[in-house]
Amino acid sequence: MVLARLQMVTRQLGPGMFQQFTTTECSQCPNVEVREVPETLEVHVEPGMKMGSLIRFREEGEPHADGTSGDLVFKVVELPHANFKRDDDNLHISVTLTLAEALVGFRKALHHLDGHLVDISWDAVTSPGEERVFAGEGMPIRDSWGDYGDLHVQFVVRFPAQLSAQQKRAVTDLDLKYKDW
Amino acid sequence: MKGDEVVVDVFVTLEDLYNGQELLVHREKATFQETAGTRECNCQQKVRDSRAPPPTAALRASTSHTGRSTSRLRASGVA
Repeated sequence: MVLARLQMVTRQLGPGMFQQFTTTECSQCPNVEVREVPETLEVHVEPGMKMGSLIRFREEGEPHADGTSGDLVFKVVELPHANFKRDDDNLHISVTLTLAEALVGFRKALHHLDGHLVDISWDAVTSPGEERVFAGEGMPIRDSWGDYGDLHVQFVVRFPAQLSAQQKRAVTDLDLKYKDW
Repeated sequence: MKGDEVVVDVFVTLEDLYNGQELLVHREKATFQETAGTRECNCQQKVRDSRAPPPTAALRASTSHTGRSTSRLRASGVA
């Protein structure tokens, strides 16, 4: 885009009389054309960036014939993850337990996003839908280095679809035996 | 004056956002390069001074008949 600058000129026509008009200045600059030059940019995605975070490259955008180029801006779009759900700096995950695991406890570990294991073992009863928070196992917080959000683990208990007569009797026997459990 | 901002979406996984990632982006960068000829630009500012045009023939004629001062007449004639 070439914008001719219109300059305001004040002219005196006679005593006490002025005329103002605009003039276009300079038409002697060498001509330019847009050429496309291949280039590779390194875009640094920093830990803890969020949906909509901007990565700005100064003066790498649309060029301007008579001025500086605009900026080139990369906008982070977060793709959904199979296991983890992100809520700001916190992560949420759902873990399914069997009825026995929910009653007597379990030994389990989660693979985190960088591959390290998070021990979520528990040796007591877990209620269906119960949520446990693992502090410091969430997303990195971008503006404070080394700080992390929390990991919220929600437990889903898979109940048996149906019980046979024999299983029903066994559970009833247990219930009679341990009335106060 | 500044050119327009170019906004591009980058799609990143949650792993990338947890660990940090370096993405290589290839592009065809639009650049201005000199070619033959000239163009209109705004790199120079000049104030040009021009003289007021001389009084019209009619004005001059009336001046000679009435014999009034030229400067006064010119002022009223143009207005």
